Parts: sequence; C-alpha cells; structure tokens
Amino acid sequence: MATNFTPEVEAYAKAEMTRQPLVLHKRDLAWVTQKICGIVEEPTPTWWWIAFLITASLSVLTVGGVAYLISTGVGVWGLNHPVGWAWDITNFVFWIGIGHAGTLISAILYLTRQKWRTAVNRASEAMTLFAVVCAGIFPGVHVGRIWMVWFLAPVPQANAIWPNFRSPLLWDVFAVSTYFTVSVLFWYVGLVPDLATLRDRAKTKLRKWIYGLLSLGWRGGNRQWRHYEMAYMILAGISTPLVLSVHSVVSFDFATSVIPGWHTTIFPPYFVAGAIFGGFAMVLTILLPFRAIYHLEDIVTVKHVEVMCKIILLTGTIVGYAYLMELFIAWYGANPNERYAFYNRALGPYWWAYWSMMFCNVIAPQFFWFKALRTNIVIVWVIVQFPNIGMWFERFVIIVTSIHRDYLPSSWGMFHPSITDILTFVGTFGIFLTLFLLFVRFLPMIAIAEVKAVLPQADPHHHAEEETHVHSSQK
Amino acid sequence: MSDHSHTFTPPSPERLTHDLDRVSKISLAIGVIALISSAVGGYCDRVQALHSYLFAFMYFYTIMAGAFFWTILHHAVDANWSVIVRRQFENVANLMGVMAVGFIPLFIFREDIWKWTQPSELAHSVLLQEKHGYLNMPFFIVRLIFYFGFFTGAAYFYRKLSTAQDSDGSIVHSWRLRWWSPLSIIGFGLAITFSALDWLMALDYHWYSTMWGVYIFAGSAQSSMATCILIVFLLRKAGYLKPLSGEHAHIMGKLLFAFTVFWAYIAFSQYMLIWYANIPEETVFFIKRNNGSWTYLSVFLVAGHFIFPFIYLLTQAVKKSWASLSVIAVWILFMHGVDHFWIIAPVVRPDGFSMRWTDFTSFIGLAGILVYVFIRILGSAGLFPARDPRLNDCIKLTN
Amino acid sequence: MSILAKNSEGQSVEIYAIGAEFPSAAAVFEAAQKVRDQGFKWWDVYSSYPIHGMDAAMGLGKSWVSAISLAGAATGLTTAVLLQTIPSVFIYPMIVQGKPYFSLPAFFPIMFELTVLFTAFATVFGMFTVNLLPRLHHPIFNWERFCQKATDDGFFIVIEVADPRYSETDTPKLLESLGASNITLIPRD
Repeated sequence: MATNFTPEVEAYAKAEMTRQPLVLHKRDLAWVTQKICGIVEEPTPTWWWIAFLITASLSVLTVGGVAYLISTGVGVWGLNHPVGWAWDITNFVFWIGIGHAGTLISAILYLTRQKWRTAVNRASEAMTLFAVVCAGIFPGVHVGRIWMVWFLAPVPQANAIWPNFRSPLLWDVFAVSTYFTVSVLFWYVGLVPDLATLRDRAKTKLRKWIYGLLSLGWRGGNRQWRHYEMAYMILAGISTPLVLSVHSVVSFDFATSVIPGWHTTIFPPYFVAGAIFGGFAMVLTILLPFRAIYHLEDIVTVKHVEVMCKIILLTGTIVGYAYLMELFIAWYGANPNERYAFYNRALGPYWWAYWSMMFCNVIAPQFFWFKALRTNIVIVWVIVQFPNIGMWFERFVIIVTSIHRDYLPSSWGMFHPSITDILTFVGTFGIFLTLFLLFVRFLPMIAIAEVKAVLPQADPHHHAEEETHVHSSQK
Repeated sequence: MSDHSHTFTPPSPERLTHDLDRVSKISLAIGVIALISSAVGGYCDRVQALHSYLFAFMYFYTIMAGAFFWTILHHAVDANWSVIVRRQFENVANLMGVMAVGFIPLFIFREDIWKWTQPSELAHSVLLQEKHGYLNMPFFIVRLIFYFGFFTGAAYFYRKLSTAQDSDGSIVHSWRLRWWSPLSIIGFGLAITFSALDWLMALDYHWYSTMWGVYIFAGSAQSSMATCILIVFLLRKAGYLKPLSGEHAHIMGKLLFAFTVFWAYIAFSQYMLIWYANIPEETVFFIKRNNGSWTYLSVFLVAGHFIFPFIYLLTQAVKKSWASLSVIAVWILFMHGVDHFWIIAPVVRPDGFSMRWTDFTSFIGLAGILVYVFIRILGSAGLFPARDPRLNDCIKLTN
Repeated sequence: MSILAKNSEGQSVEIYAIGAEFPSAAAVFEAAQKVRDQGFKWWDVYSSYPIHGMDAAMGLGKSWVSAISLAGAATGLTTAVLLQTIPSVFIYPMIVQGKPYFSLPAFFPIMFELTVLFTAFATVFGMFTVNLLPRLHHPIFNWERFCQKATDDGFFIVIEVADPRYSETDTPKLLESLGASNITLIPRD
C-alpha cells in the first residue's frame, strides 16, 4: 500500500512523535545542583513565613478537635445510629488514598523505567508520608478510649486476650503501619545522596553537621552506588505490591462485610485506582504552585504535567468502569437489598453526594482528552480540584449511604457532621501543608541525583553529535 | 556493555523465508480431523462436547484479546522496547476473525451451554425474569456483533497501518496508531469484560461477581505475553529477529512476572471476599470447585498458576534468557488452560474432576486451524516493523 | 608499608590514595575500563549519580543485597505465620464469624504485609551495612576538590595506595594518559 501524505501531515506527525527532553534548555549537572539546593539554601522567603503561619494555625483545629474529643467523648462527633462509622473513616480513607500517587511514582514508574518520574518523585513521596500521618490520626482517635489504642497491637493483654487475626480491621493496622514504615525507608534511601550534596555545599557548621549526620557519610563511589541501586530496585519492587495491598486492605474493611453497597468483589482494584487518581490530583494541586514559585519549569516541564493528566484520565476512567460495574452487577445480581442500596445512593437523600462524586471523578477528568487543556497549567490546576473533592465524596457515599438505611425502615437515619467533625478534618489540611512547607524548606524537593541521571550527558555513551539525529531511521 | 557502537545501522527487513507450507497444511488437516471427531463426540454427548469446545474457544479467544491489548498498550504509552516484537502481537490479534467463525457452533447450540437462553427457563425462573433486560437474545446478538466486530476490525486496522509503514516508512502511521490507542483501550475494556460476563459468568446465571471481567483480563494479558515469548523464541531459533537481545527477554519476563502477580492478586481478592462474606448466591461458584476431586484442581491452580511461576521468574538470569523464559511460557500457557478448564468444566461435571476426549479434540482442532492461519499471516508481511521510527531505540535497549 | 609524601607545610604525611578528576561521564567510563584492565582492585569511581553500566566497566559483579532481602522476606513470612497461627489456633482459639481457627485466606494479608516490612528493613539496613555506612569520616574527604565537586558535577577515579598494582611513578602517568586532571595524593589523616 503506497500511501502518500502531504508534507504538512508528515511534518506534523513527526513533531508529535518526537520525544521531548526531560530537562529543558540543555541544562548541565551543576545547574541541577544549584537550582534545587538553592531552594533550601536561600534565606527563608517572606511568603513562606506567611504560608507557614496560616497552615500551622489551621492545624491547631485538628489538635483542638482531638483534644476536645478525648476529653469529652465520642459524642462530640456526629456519629449516631445507624451511621456509627462515618466522618472519621471517610477522612482516613481519603488521606490514605492521597498517599498512593507518591508510591506509584516512586515504585511502579521506577520499575517501568518511566524516567520523567525523577522530576516529581521526591515531592510526591513526601506527600505520601504526610498524607499517611493525617490518615493515621483518625483510626487512632476513633477507638473512643484513646488510652486503649494499644489493643490494636498483637500483644497479649489483660486476661490473655489476643486480637482477632481474621478481622480486616487488624489487617489495616498492619497494612498502614507497614506502608508508612516502608515509605519512610524508601524516601530516606532516596534522600541520602542528595543530603550528601547539601552537606558538601553547607556554609555553616551547624548545617554541615546536620546534613552530614543525615547523609551517613555518603561518598558516591560506584562501589556504593552498586548496592544502593540494587536496594532501591528491591524497595521499588516490594513497594509496588505494597501500595496495591494497602488500599486493597482498606477496601476489605468494607467488602468482607455483607452490607449491601459494601460487599463487592471489585473493591480492591477499584480502591487502588481511585487512590492513585486522587493522589495524582493532590500531587498536581501542590506541585504546580511550587513549580511556579521556584521557577522549576525546566525540570517539571509541561510534558510532565501532561503525562500526569493522562494518568488522571486513565485512573478516572477505571474508577468510572468500577462505578458502572457496581451498578450493573447490583442490578444483574437481582438481590433487592443490593438494588435498593444503589437506587438509594443515586436517588435517595444523599443524591447530591453521589452525583458530585460521579461528576468530579468520571466526567471532570474527561477534559484531559484534549491536549490544549492538558498543557494549560492554570486549567489543569482547576480541573484537578474536582478529583480532590470527588474522591472525598466517593468515600462518604460508600460509607454513609450504605449504612444510613438499615434493613428495617425503623432503623433509617441521616448522618450530620458536627462542627467538631468538620473542623478536625479541615485541620488535617493544615497539618499536611505545614509538613510539606517544612519539607520544602529543609530538604531537596526534587531528587537531585535522579534528575542528573536522566540528563543526556549523564549517559557514558553520550556523544554530542547524537542529539542532532535522534530519528535516524527516518530517511 | 563496553562495545556499544555509535554508528548504528538499522536492521534490514526480514520476511519468513522458511517454507512452512507443508507444516501449515498438516496442521490444518490435524485440526479438521480433530474438529470432526469433536463433532462425533457431540453426537454422543452434546452438552459435554459443547463445553469442551467452549473451553478451547475461550482459551484461544482470551489469548487473542490479550495480544490486542499489548498492541494498543504499546501505542498508548509510546513504548520503545516492544517495537520489534509488536508485529507478533498484531499477528496473534488478527486471528480473531477465526474465532468469530468458531463461535457459530456455540451460537447454534446455545441452549445447551447457557441455560438462560432456553425459553422454558425464562418462563419459570423469577430470577431470570429480573435479569431479562440484559440476558435476552436480541441484546446478546448485538453484543456478539460488538465483540467480534470490534476485535477483528481494530486488530485489522492496527496491523494494516503497521504493515503500510513497512512499505512507505511514513511516521504518520505511528502517530495515527497512537492517536487511536486510548479509544481502543476503552473498547477493549468493554469487550473483554462483557464477553467474559456473557460467555463464562452467565454459564450459571445465578452467579455474579463484579471482579469477573478483571479476572479474565488478568489471565488473558498474562497468557498472551507467554504466547508471544514463545513465538519470538521459535522465530529466533529459526534464525530470525536476531537484533533482539536478552534485554528484551528481560522486559517480557518482567511483564510476565507482573501479570502472574496481578492474576494472583485479582484471584485472591475475588476468592477471599466471597469466602469471607459467605453469601449463598455468591459462594455457589467456589463450592462447586472446592468440593470433591475439584479441590485438587483448585489447589493445583493456585500452585501452578501463581506460586511456581512466581518463584521461577524471581531471579534476573532466568528472565534474561529466551530459552529459560520460553520454558515458563509453555507452563503458563498450560496453566491458562487449567484456569479455563477449572472455570468451565465443573459446570457440567459436578461429580468431580474428569476429562473427556472431546476436551482434547476441540483444543487440538482449534489449535490446528489457528496455526494454519497464523503461518499464513506470519508470511504475509515482515517479521518486525522495519521502518518504525522507534526501532533504533528499541534495539539499543538496556534495562 | 605505608607511603609518605610531603604536605604544604613540609611535614611528611601518610598517603591514602591517588585521586584524579575527569571531565565527563563518557571520559570516566572509558578510563574506568582501562583501570579495570590494568588489574587494579582497590579503587573506585565517584560520581554524583549512578552511571549506567559502570559496574561492568569496573569489573564488579551483581550486588548481593538481594540475598539479604530474601532472608528478610523469609523471616517476615515465618514471623507472620507464627504470629497469627499461635494465638488463633493454640493460645486463644475462638470461633469468630464461623471461620476456622486456621483461616489461610484471612491470614494472607498480614503474611504479605510482614514479608514486605521485613524485606524493606533487611534491604535498607543490609545496603547500609554492605556499604559500611554510616561512616562520617573517611580519608577521601581530605581532598578538598573532591568535597567540592563529587556530589555536584565531578567525576573522579581514586586508586588506593594499598592496591598491589599501585606504583608511585606509573599510576599517576596512567591516570594522566587517560585524560585526567587534578591528579592529587590524598593524605590518610
């Protein structure tokens, strides 16, 4: 078949198929060091103090809310009968989900050799940790008698009572604490060479001492890199199933039950896809302003933003598939209770939550089909707010609508969050942002060594003349 | 490592030069004879023979759907590594036309396979009346047309543009294929899910699982990767595709490993949630398969489909060698058969594990015909996309 | 035998190694291959990021950190099996929701999590141990040029004087012939 395209079409296709460089403007190694270390080394900017003051005051809400809860009792929350499990667990699942994008970027994209990840992995991993910190507050305090929280741990207690290992809630304790620990280790291992860079650039004795201690005396010899890279790969290898398992186990909390609307076999992969979806939205929400403030456009390029938008589109569509599957099987299963649960979700008193979720998670990301929207940073930032909202509503819908109408109409009720509920949740954003601001101030927010490794001149087989004809097969 | 040459010459196009005409015709003859014996078997015991045939049909159908998935995935993520093996995925996916013809006996004798298609069943089953909006004949036919129309049409489209590039070398083809790939993924997702629901889940119309489509997809992607590994291994043995290195084997091995784990994750989640909740209308599926001698097959499925390949593929050296990789590919293809046998056979053999000779003849019959057609497709174009713009990057690959 | 040299103040100091700087990744890569072929054993290539293919260029095998990880995985799996089985089956057997005492599907999540947790600990601490870290003081930090550039954009080859192939006269010449600059003797203290 001899197809002849016009030169314009050929040229357009060629431009579209040409790979964009990961770091723009042919930057060199020293530029990368200077750019990223400069953020940490410059005198603290005024905006940082203002932002820190705001977020730190915001986080007081959570501290106050939790103190009020513990001193008074769970009655200060809006939980009631039949909705005995609502706001706290919604927030827990919401925050745990946010973390998943960081692990996806650091682990799964590492294994699939997606080199663009190097520009965003450090900040996203930091978000993972801070999100898990926020998540951990809720199951911690929702047990009611906080001084008995150690009952969660598998230690022989009074009267030799052991926890029930067949309970998904106990699996959750293991999954979330493992997730946090492994994420910290992974993050720290990635930080060590960059901390050594900060150590070598430190001007004051205190900085040198602190960064020197944290970098453990890293020297950057290939004999060290060899083991380092193996360890990094193994950590990526185990974090990949780990991140899948964490939200799967969270989904087991619901899916192992026999409550209509909760018991669905697709829950594990559906929760994981949703977590990655919401996580990427949060990564873009936080990263785009910092990209602008610190002029990181050469490292976090428009191409990077576009790729993340595509992941949001993909995972949003997978979430849409799961919603559809749930609805379809609820109908197909022909169980009247199951059918009613979904009817009630869509058309019951919480219809607004359901349709907000549907719009934010399934419809809104479809805008990312269009390149013009994916490449406009302001529009991207606006669109990713929908998944942030939608994923919170998703958990609210799953939890509250499934239990607010029990089998008997006499046990029907509504859930109304109390003011303590709302303020405690709002405060967690303060905690999250405060921690992130501190991270940006004291640690390199972009993985220096990893970005260097993806520069063209980092390749030992790189020769300057190769750049000119990347597509040499095109005759 | 040390002898990277900087002056890179692209490999010249390769075509099948071996004369496989005799092989293909023998294969066709065996296939036809086996299918005739299956028909004879069907004359003796129609229900059993049809389920044997459904087993063989689903086995190959899922492999072809998986091959289509890998083709569109290659374009969607704009991959480098898979350029040189992509043609084999395209070739396998293009066998879907044979499967469309192969569905005819299943359609004719549908009432022996899918109970819901019997008018008498509809008359007395309240449950089926509830599901009639989906499980009805006109809609079933519409869906059939969608599955086969989508798969054959799209697979043909992807191979046609790819081979067109072989002759004119235009980059426009690559761009067009990439442009269509995200939409194809949506079509693929719907087709594989609902065909799995229609042909396997609906074997017992009482039973349902929202995970079912994902479960079939996981096995499908895994087994088609194994198929392609095997095809590439054989082609390399015959002296073709020499630019492929152990690095390419490594990537295919890693993907095989990844989907082995993914299958296990999906299978475990589905099993555990149904086992845990213990609701009668759901557990019926596993009760059939976890009682009597079927239990042993269930245990074997876990060990053979997950644990053994998992351990085997764990080390790097195994994945870097085409020979050791093709050993596990054969094993995974065998276990893919066990998986589908485990899904289909217990429906009509409730007393326990047993195999009929029609299981073998149906399988050999379809395999014979598919090999015949595959050799024709293989010979009709180059063995790899020789003028793909990413070919150089593909060959220079290091992990 | 320790090798001595004069420092700037004329005192004689013990020498740890000879260091050389290279202009690019490609240069240090080619130099490393030559140094490897000369049969040196006590030497290393320093760069601010891991250079792809450098292990082979230096003649190093595959890292065996993975073996430590595997040991960690086995420990984690065993711990999880025992942790769940002993209380659920022996110490505190109780029927909950009709599940058997030994419920493998229900034990699987924790088995998985602890396997991952122990693997991660084994990998990270194993890697640090194999790399002999933390070690805050090292003779190489006595080389000022190295401290300025090694974690920024420098590429260095450092050959220890302890290497049997080391020669006071030939080794600097070798490094020079490979295109090195700033060839320096690094004192031990």
